[in-house]
Amino acid sequence: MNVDPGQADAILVARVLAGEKQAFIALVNEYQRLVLHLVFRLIPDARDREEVCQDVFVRVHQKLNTFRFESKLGTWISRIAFNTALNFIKIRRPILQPLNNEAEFQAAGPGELDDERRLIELVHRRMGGLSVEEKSVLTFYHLAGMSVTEISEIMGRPEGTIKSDLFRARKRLKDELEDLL
Amino acid sequence: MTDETTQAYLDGDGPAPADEGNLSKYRRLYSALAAEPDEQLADQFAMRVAARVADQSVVNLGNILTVLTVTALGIIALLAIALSLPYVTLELSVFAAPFSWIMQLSLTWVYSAGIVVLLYCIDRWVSASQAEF
Repeated sequence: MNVDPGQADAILVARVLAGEKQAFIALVNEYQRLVLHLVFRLIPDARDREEVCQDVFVRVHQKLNTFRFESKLGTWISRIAFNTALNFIKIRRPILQPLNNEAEFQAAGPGELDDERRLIELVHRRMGGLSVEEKSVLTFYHLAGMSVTEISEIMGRPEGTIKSDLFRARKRLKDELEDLL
Repeated sequence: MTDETTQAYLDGDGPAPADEGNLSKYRRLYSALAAEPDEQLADQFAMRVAARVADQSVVNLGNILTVLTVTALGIIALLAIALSLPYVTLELSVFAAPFSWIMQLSLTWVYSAGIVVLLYCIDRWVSASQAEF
């Protein structure tokens, strides 16, 4: 029997609120990739990422009783992830360094890595130079496959702003990596 | 303009652009942006989070009990003061006599608050013992 995702989430949330530990573990397993994607792009230090991801799910557990199913559970968790990562960045602002395409392209990975993989790595590094909002918008849109409306809901910004952030961020990346694309 | 039309096309929101070179660059960029990172969370990640939540639940229960203990001590102190005040000095007793109704009202309020706190405490205890966290 197929259960629609909304109904499955409702059942999962009810079980977590009833104090079922296995249900919470299932919830974490279900949404940890989504959270990691965002945290991976926003938090530069790999050592901090797991801690931030844990903080996100601890908050999810604390606030789950306030979730009213007015949006998808994934959207709601993404909003918590975004705010948690944002708070973390405010406390520990990363130091940005000037980048050099060619040198970085060579340094992006060992020789046996194919160009495609190096380009992915380089794009990720270049995203470090974008604003938090631009990085988040790119991640939600391209990696999590969310719509502009959903992103607008998560970030609490108008759809027009999300669209212009998307355009500006992609154009900047394209211009910066022009010779490698 | 070519960037706008190219991005709109790739977002499924416009006609194909004329500049094929630019389109090709954007295609590669879109592909790189959509590539999932290699990094993964530890296998035991969910278990670790669950353990952290369980630890916090214990801490929260401890905090609630601390607050309840302080509240209970406060209530006892207030009661002691309220009951002993008329016996401290004759002047105080004479002074307090016309306001005894306030004292009675306060005592009623304090008793009610105590009962509410007690019920809340029992409720939390029962919930905590039923939940796995």
